[in-house]
Amino acid sequence: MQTKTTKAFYLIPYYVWIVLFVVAPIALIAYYSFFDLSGNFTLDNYQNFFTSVYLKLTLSSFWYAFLITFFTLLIAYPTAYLLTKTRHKQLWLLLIIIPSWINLLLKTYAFIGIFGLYGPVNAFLNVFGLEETQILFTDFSFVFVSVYIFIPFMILPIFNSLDKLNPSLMDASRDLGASSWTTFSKVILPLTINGVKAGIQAVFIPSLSLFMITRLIAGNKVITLGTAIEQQFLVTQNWGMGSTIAVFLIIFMVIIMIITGQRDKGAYANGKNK
Amino acid sequence: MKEITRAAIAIVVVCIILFGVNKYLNQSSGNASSDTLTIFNWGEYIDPDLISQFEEESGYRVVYETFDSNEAMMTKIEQGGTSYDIAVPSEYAIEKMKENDLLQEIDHSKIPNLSNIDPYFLDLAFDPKNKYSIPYFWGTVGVVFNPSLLDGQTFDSWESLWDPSLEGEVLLVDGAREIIGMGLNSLGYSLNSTDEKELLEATAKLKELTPNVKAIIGDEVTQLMINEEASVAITFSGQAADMMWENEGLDYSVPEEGSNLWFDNMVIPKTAANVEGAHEFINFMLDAEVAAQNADYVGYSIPNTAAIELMDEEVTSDERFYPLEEARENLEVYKNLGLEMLGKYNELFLEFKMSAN
Amino acid sequence: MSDNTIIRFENVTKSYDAETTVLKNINLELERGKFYTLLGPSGCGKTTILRLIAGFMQPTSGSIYFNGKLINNVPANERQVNTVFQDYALFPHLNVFENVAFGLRIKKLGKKVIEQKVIEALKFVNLVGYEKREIAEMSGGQRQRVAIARAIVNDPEIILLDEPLSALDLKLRSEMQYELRELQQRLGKTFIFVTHDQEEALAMSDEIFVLNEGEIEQSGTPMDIYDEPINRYVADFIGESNIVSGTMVADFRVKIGDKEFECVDQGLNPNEKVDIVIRPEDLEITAVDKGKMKVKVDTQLFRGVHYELSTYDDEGNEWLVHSTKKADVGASIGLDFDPEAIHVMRLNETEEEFDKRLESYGEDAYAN
Repeated sequence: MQTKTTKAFYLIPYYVWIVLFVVAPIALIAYYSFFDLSGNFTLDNYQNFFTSVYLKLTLSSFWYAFLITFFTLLIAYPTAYLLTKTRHKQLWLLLIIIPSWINLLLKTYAFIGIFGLYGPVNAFLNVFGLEETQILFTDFSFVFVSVYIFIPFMILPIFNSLDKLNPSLMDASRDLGASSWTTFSKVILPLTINGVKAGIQAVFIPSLSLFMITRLIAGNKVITLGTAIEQQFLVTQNWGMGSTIAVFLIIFMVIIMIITGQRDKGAYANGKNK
Repeated sequence: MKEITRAAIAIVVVCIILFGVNKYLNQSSGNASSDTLTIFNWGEYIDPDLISQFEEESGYRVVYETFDSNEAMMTKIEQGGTSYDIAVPSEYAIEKMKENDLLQEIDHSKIPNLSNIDPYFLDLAFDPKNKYSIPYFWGTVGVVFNPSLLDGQTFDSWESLWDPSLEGEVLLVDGAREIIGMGLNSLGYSLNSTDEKELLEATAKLKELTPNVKAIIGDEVTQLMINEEASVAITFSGQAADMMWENEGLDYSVPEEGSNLWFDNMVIPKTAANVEGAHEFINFMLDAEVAAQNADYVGYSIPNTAAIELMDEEVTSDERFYPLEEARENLEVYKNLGLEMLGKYNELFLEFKMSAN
Repeated sequence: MSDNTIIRFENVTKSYDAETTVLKNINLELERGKFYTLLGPSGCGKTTILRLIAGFMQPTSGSIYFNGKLINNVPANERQVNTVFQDYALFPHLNVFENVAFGLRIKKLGKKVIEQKVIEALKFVNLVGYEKREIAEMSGGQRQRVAIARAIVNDPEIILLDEPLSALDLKLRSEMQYELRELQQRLGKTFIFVTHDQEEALAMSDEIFVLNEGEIEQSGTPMDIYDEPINRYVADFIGESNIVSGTMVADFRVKIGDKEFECVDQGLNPNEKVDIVIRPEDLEITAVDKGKMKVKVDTQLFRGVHYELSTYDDEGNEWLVHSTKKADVGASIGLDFDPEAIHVMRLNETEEEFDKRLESYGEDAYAN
């Protein structure tokens, strides 16, 4: 009996935290989403969300989030794989992670200069006789900078799952006649899929609501759900509509988390059982 | 099922508690005492030396905070977490704050320097008799451009922006009122239009501008124009002055169809803790020498006749920034259109932005 | 090289960098259908040989032949060799059936054929009925069998076993020793078994290679190696031994300390310094006056089948004795042994020289 009460006692901070910073904000958002500008209860916000502007917005958010996640994965997986093969892998990993400690806005501002008409990238292109091209405020620059910012968040979980992979499993696969590609698709990928899923979660979900990069790098030509929410709260002061978009964003996030949810199968030998 | 019910009850309970706390917080005013003065201003909108000077002269300790949109400022004042003694909203925001009962009346007897202000800027529609606000800076919205990157285009008309030769060259300010307003102006409508048809027409017209749009951004526009990354930008006159200070090749023009004339005035929020100090500060800022120094630093136009006399003639006679009264005729001041309409403007602006790619 | 040779190493050297050479100029020949054991302490290079055969690494220099064909550059997945790994390396995301079927699926065999072959392989290792089990649900011994089934199902010419029994407990280990040996004989495949356990090696192998620091010290049948270790290292590694220094006085006469004994070795230089091995089980306890040697019992342990006595002679050499007789601790006893029990080893003799010398005895024996 005593242990039960002490256990409950220790759980109090956890519950307080969850209630104050997870349950309450979500509840508030859900609550606000049912009010219009003059504070009357309404379902109009939800109806409004299904108009072409917001549907298009949602679609374009998903499209860009998909692009960002796709390219991040494309770069992060081989990088993580190479990292596990290097001699000083922890050091290399640290070098890749360090940029993520720097404020996102700072890095973003740096790219304004780098991609500028008179920035280093164009100067480099000039060397090859190419004319200055508009890089900033294009889809390319937006996806590039987002991928750059998200790469550490994708590499880390993939690296961890690759690093935990027992190397003799690769030998076994080769030994049984599998080519490198088959080894990758039949052994390495299935055993690191949880890392990949975690990486996709860590990139796709925040990508849906990126907002500063959309202005600074994409010149507001790319609009995400995050931009829309920011606008509704700070400019229009339509908290109801902002909350409604946020509610949908939360729903999308939950769906993605369910899809990429981890079924931990055969966790035992994923690690080196030596 | 039981768990869900329990969670639902928990959520409801938390909501009730939070609303209670919220009410309580709204009632209690901040922590400021009478020897500090808390100022809430736009970024880069005062000469910091003047703050020190005021502190020395008055003996108050100044707490200086900045905001980057009228809406953000109003939200913060409304929430009342900090009791600001001075704020600097634009005219339509003043109208709205008056409506929401957020402002105190200003005692003109405590502001003798009010006589320095050009009467043109007093007793305007948004605040008759300047009961709640005292002019700080004013300006226009217009086009800043780089003739060396252009083939002789001038921007006496908004129409010039639609010139196909400007493909991917135009920077727009990220503001619904400014851009939708520009669209309305270009069609000869009022930038305060609330007519659905006019608004849709303006949006359609703006959508045709998209091939020319390079980006829709905020303060970064200054640096981009200085660095000649783009040749044309729609911006505020003061920002344009900043750019031209750094890059002498730039020029500024307010199109003839009309544009926005704006005022930023000093106000004293209802929640102010140091009303006496706030009056002293307003009077201080209206002092001819102080205002001149401030205008030199900030680069926007001042409504202070006495100060203008002290300033460099070259600056004050520049009609691009100190347009003559006749020229101001075409300019319109933003009216508070109400939240509903502002929402409409923003939705149209969002639609325009989404078509920009 | 006979037609029966399946693997041949020619001057194979493997080094990782200038300083660490793990294999030094290895030459060996393995015949089809035999059970080979590579025996040695960790770091001796035995696993490296296995990995070279499997194709997980390439030799730094030298050639490896498989059925007479050079396979230095043939990748692992194209070799007719399968491995049972030390940690089994079973795929944790696949169940027992899919683990065993892995190699067959890569060969793109038909569904029916795969099923039939997998069941057959599982039958071989007594795991029928476990097809649907997850690997995590299998015990250590069962995993071991799955690993073996996974290897044999591909019908390879050689099966490599990398210390596959080291993770099992003692009882299971000796059971598996029988099973492996029996399996090898039933399949008739070449097994190459790596271990550091000399008992395992002696029990299972047709031929043993004793390795030390990247070199083969000695190869031969378990009996050869046990009875005629080439040097102190092999003698020490294979079974418990009494190894002392001595001098060859003349043919058939060897001197240990200041005592001379009769032995069966000949053809050595007079007064050559040698190492002498006498196995503990070859020493017999007798009365002090009847023994060839007088020792004092230091400790005595009961080992079940025999007593193990640690005794010391007057010169301080330790003599380990395995005897069914008991002695009193502290007492002086006599030790008796046959001349054949004394095994004389020349210092720094190579395997070749050793073999030659042994052959010459044989000739003499026939001559006698």
